[in-house]
Amino acid sequence: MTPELAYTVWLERQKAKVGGRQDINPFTLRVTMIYRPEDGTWKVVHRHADPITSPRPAESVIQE
Amino acid sequence: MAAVDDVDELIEQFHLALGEFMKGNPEPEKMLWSRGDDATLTNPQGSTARGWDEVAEVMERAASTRRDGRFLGFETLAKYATADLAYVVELERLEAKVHGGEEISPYALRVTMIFRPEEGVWKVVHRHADQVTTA
Repeated sequence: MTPELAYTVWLERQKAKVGGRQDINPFTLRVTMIYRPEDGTWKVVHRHADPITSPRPAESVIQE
Repeated sequence: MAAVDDVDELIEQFHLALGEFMKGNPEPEKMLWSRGDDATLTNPQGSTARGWDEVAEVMERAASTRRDGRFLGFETLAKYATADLAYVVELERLEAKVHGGEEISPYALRVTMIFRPEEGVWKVVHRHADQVTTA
């Protein structure tokens, strides 16, 4: 965290009905967020979130 | 004092290092990273490595699954630098033989990287990468 820019890296645990599902499912996101002060108030300028929280094989990056 | 312009140089070096990474060699990329306890790497294989030792281990493991590859190119989506902290959001296009495969496979990553000057030199303190599923 600096006076002009800050970031956080965390795991978010959430629960929601996702898509058209009727049941509530828990899920975890890996999240990087970046913040910047604008007119004296910290604002989010970037959010990068993905659901990859368990090990995946190297070849999972390839989309067939 | 690290100049803000030097962030671009680090990004360029990082892209060159990725080319080596895709050939199985993590060493050039490792040289560009902070050795801090707060270095973090969230990679496409699900890592949430924290601290340089863990980050280096994850990087070595990932590089060992890549062969005969190349860094193909990138698109910068956002970039912002202050004197003490900087970040880039980019799309990276890469290709390699992955995990013992015989075919060279192209793929794309969405990447957020955060940089910090350490003793006058910009270093990577965080990299978050995951695969692009609709390119």
